[in-house]
Amino acid sequence: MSTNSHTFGPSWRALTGIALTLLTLALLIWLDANRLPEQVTVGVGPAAAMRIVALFVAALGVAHGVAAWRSRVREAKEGFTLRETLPTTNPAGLAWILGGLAALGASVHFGGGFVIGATTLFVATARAFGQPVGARSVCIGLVLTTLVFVFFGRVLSLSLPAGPFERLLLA
Amino acid sequence: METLNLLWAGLAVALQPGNLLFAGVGVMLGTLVGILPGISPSLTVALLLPVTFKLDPTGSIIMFAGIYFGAMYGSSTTAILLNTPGEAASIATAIEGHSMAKAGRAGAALSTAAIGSFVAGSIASLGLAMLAPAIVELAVSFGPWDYFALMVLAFITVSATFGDSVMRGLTSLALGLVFGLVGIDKLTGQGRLAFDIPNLLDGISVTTMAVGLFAIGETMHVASRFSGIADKVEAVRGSLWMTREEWKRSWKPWLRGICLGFPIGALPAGGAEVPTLLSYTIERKLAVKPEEFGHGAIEGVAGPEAANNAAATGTMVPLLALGLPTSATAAMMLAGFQQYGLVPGPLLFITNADLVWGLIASFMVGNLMLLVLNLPLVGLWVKLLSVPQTWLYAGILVFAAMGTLAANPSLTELAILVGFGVTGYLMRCWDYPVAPMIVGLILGPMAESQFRRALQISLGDTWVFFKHPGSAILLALALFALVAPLLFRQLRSFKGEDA
Repeated sequence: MSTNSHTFGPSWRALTGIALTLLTLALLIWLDANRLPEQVTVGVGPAAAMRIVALFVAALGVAHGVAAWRSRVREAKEGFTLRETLPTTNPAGLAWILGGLAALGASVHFGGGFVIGATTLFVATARAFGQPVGARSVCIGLVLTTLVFVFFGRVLSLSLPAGPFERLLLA
Repeated sequence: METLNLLWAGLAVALQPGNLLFAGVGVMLGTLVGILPGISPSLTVALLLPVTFKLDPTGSIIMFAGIYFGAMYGSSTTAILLNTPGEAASIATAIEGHSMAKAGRAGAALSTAAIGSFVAGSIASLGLAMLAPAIVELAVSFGPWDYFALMVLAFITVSATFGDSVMRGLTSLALGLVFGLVGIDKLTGQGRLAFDIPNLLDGISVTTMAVGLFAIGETMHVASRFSGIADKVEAVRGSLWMTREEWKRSWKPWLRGICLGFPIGALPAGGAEVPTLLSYTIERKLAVKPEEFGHGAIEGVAGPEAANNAAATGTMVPLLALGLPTSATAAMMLAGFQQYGLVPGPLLFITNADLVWGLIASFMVGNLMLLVLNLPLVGLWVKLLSVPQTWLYAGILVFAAMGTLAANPSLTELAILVGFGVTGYLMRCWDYPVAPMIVGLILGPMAESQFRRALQISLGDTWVFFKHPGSAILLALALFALVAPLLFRQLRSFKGEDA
């Protein structure tokens, strides 16, 4: 077991990806700053900070690029591959969670309301952690999200997105 | 003397039944989230921001502070009984405390952590009450250039100096700064990086970012590594009353921990990780029985836990006196202040003296509550540790979505939340720190407005930051804080090559 700082962190492929993302982001900020009209009064306008941040991001992009290059050279020389801190063992779990979030978004967007969407999210997340989709997780989720909705609506007078189920509840 | 009078008046505010209730709820919630792995105090404050929008500012902020301190206590319980540090700052406690628990001395470990935290929190609160007015007095003479330089220093220390990798810390900070730019520029009304999307013109909400990075990112990370094997919880064995010898071995580490934790926390350097690890190292060097370290030495719990709590209180010094957040939780508390239109800093000590002093006094009240509540209730807290991850994380995601939708019920906001969630997940996979991003988002716009004000006053002279001694020194310190870790690393690697 090596405790060297090189063992952890992104691989050279990930580093290259991050470098490209950062450079694109810097370019985007710079272009958006150019779009702003020039400042006429004393001092600097809203574009100045954007340019500073864009340069900062670009510098970090270059730094990531250099790190990626070095890491690749080392890998080629020593046959030593960088590892993530912990390997991904449950990629399906990720898909379940993202699917649950998408379902919530769809429910909010198409008027299904908070309770149905959030219950779907609850059940999907439980599935990601190994709990089969079934009566148990649906019941717990339904009770929890309904309580949350009522608490928000009645006690805090904040409104969560309402669908047919919620209107029935508040009526 | 004046400070004592103000503190006395603050105590009267803190002891009002309503505020006492808020403090109680805060410390209980804090303990709860500290115990549950996966929920950080900053996330809890983020989730509560939309809920507390309509409540009384003093009470809510007292509650937020209670959450911070409560979480520090709670995470030590998890560290001792489960060997899973709920917070990065509890790593040292996990090493020694868990060994003590396995050897049947869990009671003593919990006690020394709780009493040490109480002593540290109380002394550090007094330190805060003494130090903050002095800094306020100094800060009154600060110009915008000084504030800007101070913020640059905070940026560097939070992201680069104490992390594993300067590059990764700075990248996290840079992302925060970029998102801080999004929205309408307050001085000219120009939209920046908003691409004519109405949601973006309002700017990125700190709540959405914090909830996305912490709640969704963390849940995705745990889920992607989920194997179905539950951690083993050690039962609380051994008396909660410490023996004479254990007291004797605890009090000096407590005091040393405070001496490390409070100043480091109060510096605009942030984080409780550094003082706790320093305290652990020092206790190991000074120990009468160094052979016990690694096998359950009580000094290794007492020192770091005191340092941990003292540092948490210490971070309140720059937050209250200068409006400078130096940890993720402090950044969320600043967002809490902003929610009520309050700006922490020298002015707040004059305009809202009762709030500030009430808050400081409530730190002491909260610490006492924690001591009284937590040791007797330890059995109840332990039960919480056996809540299965499944329901825990499913619940966290529902609350995360709820907080965001309550603040802004739109699909765009939800998409931004998920975007931050994926970012947070990737950052965890590749070991990028998350806190600098939050600090960058909240402190970036403040730094920009000071920057522009300074250039307006100097009629566009960019050298203004170097012409004033205060800002010049602070910027030099920032440069040093940036270069120092790189130099040390270089030196270390030279040594490594020689060997």
